[in-house]
Amino acid sequence: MNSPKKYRLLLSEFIDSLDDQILDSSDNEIIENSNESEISKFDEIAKKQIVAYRKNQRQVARREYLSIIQDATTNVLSLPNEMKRKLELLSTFFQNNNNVPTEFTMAFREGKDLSENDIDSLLQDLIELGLLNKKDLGTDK
Amino acid sequence: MGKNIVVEYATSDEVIKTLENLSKSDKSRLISFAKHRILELQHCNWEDLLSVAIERAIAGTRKWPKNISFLKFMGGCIRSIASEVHRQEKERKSAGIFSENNFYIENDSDSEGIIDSVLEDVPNQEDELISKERFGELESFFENDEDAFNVLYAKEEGHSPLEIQAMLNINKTQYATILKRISRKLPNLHKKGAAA
Repeated sequence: MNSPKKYRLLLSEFIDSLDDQILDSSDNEIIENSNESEISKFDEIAKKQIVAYRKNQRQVARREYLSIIQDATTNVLSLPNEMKRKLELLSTFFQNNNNVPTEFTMAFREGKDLSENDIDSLLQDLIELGLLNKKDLGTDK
Repeated sequence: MGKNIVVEYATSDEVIKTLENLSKSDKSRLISFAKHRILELQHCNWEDLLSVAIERAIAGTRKWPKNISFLKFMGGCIRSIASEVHRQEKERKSAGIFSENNFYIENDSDSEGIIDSVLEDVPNQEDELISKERFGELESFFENDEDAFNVLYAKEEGHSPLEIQAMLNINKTQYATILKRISRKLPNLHKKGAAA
């Protein structure tokens, strides 16, 4: 009746049938035959894998964060120390660039009483937008 | 004019939530699946097999399609990973580098478990011998349980469930009961001097 037996396949199919019976068994039947120490072992295994996964996720997130920080710091260019120099920079920049977003030009024109922090912030925004570069800033520290 | 079927997969968080909320009976079921599969393996325990399956389910290297139950999905994972372990056991054995405690499973290349690893893992002569021996062990173990012995023997002969029921003059329920009994007693198989 049978072609040469394939024991490996037969064993696998036998195991499949055991699995099917487990799936078909009622919860009560399963619980009656369950083993508390094995259930505890299962919980331990699952917890270990969940913790390992979460730890890995945190490490990935941390690496991404550090990468962003690094990119941000490499883009920070040294601003001039003197307020006068900073104002000159901005003034020159706005004279030479017609396409600057209006919120920047207005902030500058209206901000005669702009604090140094405000000026620095404007300059940093222009740097981050790529509108000011090292060459524009000169070699002043 | 076929429809494109879009399969939705569970996220890692959904897998974790499912694991954390598993009932005791479902945890037992998963343990049973792992215990069944180690029949095919020589150097592996159910804890390690289950651990790898859970790891991959969480990480998403084995994706859980939401249209099938979590149990069926994990059963498939365990089956597939057991087949992978079996393949690796064979390779290491032939390279002479396998040791009793060396359970290591390489990168998972079958992320959706679509490939039927058992069929892909083409049995060689040694596989056949080992599997035949496994049947022999099972039959010896169940020699005092006539029904279980007969079912095992008939399975080894390649008979289908319906054929076995007809041969043994049992119904579907009785057949299922025998298989459940075999499943319950299996963990004792390799205990020294044990019989079912």
